[in-house]
Amino acid sequence: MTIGTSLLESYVPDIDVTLVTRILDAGATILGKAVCGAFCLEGSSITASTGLIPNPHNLAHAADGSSSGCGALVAAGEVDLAVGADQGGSLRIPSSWCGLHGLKPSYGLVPYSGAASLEFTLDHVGPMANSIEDMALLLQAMAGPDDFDSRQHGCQIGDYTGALNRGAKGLKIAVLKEGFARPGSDAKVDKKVRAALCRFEKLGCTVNEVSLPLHLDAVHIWIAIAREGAAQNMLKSGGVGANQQGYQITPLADASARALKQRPDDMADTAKLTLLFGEYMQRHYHGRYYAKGQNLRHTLRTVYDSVFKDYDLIALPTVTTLAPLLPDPDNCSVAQYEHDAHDSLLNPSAFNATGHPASNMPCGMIGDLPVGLSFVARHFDEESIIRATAAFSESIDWTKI
Amino acid sequence: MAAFSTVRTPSAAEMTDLAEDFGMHLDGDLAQSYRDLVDEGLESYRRLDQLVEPKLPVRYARGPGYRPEPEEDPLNAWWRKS
Repeated sequence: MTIGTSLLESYVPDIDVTLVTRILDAGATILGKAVCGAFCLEGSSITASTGLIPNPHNLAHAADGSSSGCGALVAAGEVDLAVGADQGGSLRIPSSWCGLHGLKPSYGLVPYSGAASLEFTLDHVGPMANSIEDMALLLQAMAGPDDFDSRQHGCQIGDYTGALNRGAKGLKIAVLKEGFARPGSDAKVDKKVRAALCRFEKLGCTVNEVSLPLHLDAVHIWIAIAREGAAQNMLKSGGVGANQQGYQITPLADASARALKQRPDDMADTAKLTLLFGEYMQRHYHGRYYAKGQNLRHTLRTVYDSVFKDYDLIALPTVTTLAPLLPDPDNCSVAQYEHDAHDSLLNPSAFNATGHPASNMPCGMIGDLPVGLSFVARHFDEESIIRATAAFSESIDWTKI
Repeated sequence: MAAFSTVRTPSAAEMTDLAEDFGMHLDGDLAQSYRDLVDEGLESYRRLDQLVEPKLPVRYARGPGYRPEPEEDPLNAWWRKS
């Protein structure tokens, strides 16, 4: 396990994470560990210490990340399934750009125990697959408490494979106005997502637009938590630290401490910037913005929950653009790395802050690149997402629209 | 009108010093790029300054209370009385 950084290349875990044991129990075979972006801090598959990861749909474009290796390997058919981590969109973004079904489950549904923590209150892990059936199967195998993860409270496990055949009839879908036409949004992506949503009326769903202006601020609230949280928790102490119970990876704490002393300059610029920025905010503002972010996430959650009084699903573009061209690694500025990451997490990061389940459903192609639609549901209502997605996928081949 | 915020952008030299505390070498153009990216990133914190955070509800009237004189507190056990 390297978390995408050469700093940890000699680190080999001495345990399996709970979800891997569950996957093996369910009869799957583990073929390997995929590359991920440096310290999971990217949105464009260009920061891993092992190099760029191209998009199988068009090798000139990025697979995106930070679960970039997972996205590329599933899309290329080298594996049937992958498990990605997602703290700001890291499994939904590559799922969108590689044309996969991906799900960031409700906070705490899948045990995080034994996986490297980025920020305890944002950590999620979930399935990525080429079909909704495979995605539901993997979720079913992984979900539920393991008594080791204090992220897990009041877990309600659903019948995900059963939901595949229940149809979408009767589901109420709210189209989130503020998820579209954001700064930097590709109008073609917005149009493709809206066209896909129109099809849900034929599947027996109600589809209406709703407006939540606070969605535009969600990324700022997320950043306040993620930047200082990641700097303190993952980058300075290997995801092991005070004030949290649950399984702690002591060998990773040792390996991270050694690595940070041994070769700090080898950290990718995106990770260095997060570390230095987070440290700057700590030294000069002493955690007040982190604290305010944590309080505001409560407001944010309440705002989306108000929609769920009348609707079962909120829909928006997973990412606001298509997969970008891979940069020339010898001629890519720190600013480009950073901007690529920031733009791709505008929509998805909101639901790491709120903990609602949020998916990617491939909903069409523009040229040879996939477009993704994200469904968000009530906490622990992954079934509604699977019902809607399965009904859509059965009604049409997304690669043809 | 630009929103009021007191969040300060560090200088490139401050970025260099901060990096040095972690044993990292960061100077010249790269330090300036980091400084510029921090400046852009501070947009989120400036926005947070505009947002009102929720507070736990206060349902009963409350005042600052007072520190009792020794005669009122023979056991020396009160910090404040309401």
